Amino acid sequence: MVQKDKYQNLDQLKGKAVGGTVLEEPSFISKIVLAGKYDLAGFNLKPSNQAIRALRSLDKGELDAVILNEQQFNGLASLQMSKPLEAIFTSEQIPLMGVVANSKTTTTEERLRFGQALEGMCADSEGKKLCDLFGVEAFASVDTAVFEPMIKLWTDGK
Amino acid sequence: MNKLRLFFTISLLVFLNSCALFQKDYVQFDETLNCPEQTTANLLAAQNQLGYLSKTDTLACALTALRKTEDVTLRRSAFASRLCLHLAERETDQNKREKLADEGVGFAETALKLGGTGDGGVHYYLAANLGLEVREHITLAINNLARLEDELKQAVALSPDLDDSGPLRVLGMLYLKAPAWPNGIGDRDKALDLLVRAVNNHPKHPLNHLFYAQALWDDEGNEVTVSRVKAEFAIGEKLLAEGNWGYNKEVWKKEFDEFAKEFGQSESLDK
Repeated sequence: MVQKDKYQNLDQLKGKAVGGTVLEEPSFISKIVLAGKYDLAGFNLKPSNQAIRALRSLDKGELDAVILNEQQFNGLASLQMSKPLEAIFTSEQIPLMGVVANSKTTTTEERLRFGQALEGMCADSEGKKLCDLFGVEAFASVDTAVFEPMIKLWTDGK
Repeated sequence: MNKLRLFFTISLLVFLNSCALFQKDYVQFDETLNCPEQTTANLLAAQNQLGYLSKTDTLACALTALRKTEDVTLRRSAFASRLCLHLAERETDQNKREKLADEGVGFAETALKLGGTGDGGVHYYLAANLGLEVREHITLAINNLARLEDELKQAVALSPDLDDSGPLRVLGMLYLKAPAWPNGIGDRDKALDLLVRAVNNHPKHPLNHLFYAQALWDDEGNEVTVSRVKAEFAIGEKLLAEGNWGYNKEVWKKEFDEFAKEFGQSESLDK
């Protein structure tokens, strides 16, 4: 996201100050979000632990751009910015990370049991309260095919 | 006009009595308290005298009397709600603490219905009691965030200096602890702004310094130096140790100790 009409593409942001909470994981941004097409070292990265602060800085001109995830992007309408913003880059669809387990420290049986418990959580009367609270409709087992392109980007990426 | 006035008076009495009829399960105090008989005049006079320095029995007696009063001036004020908060804060049993806090919320809600909307104290003690009531219940806490924010914002607008910048302090902590945007109202910048104002406006209150230290500590992205967090913490700790904070002292000491532990553990990890 940039102030409207200030920049038109990512190339113009080289050397510029780019903020956002997602910059906490630069490898993920580089390999998956940017699909290996841009070297993050070319930007002046300013990671933040609060997206709203990064957006205020963008609004004031203290940052040149802010990277947002989908949830943050969808929440923009609720903020009052003094200058209009626009997106100059949108990534391909990236599947939600989901709940993952470390295969080295967990057993197959543990992962299976945990997965089954999660799948039943939103149908449980108590679990439903937490699901509703956090806007979770359900937990579902992963279709591994969805993640294969991401795995390829990660292993091939720089 | 006389008939209208009579109708209104009867309606008000029915409303107040119905509140008594449908009384919730309140914390019952020891029957051997031997509370003195309290008149409306006594209670009105006691408002400015009873607080965190008062003995628990004294507060309990006053609350018992307030539960029965039908005086609109008293019921429209923050007095009963404030007493509930004082009693709840020093109550070690969680169930009783939450019941007292819930009662405090109820008193404040009644006060608002009776025209107390312009009283910052009513909004402040409603929020303070509500916060205490939901503190141990995450779903309740999150479901009440908007209400807490709204009440505290009104308290800040109407009575920012109440309880030594209490509205600023509590709203600041709400913004610090709540889930951050876009998931919630959490906002570190707002938290810091409110808490630094609390410290500047009322520098002698220990919690203003503790909460500000916590906000600074949480604000890693702003290159806060450890020495600044330590300085604020030390000021607050000294104020707590040297001041006469009555029954709050022990409760607040625990908050200082908990933060010191968290702070100390983080420092040792950085070495």
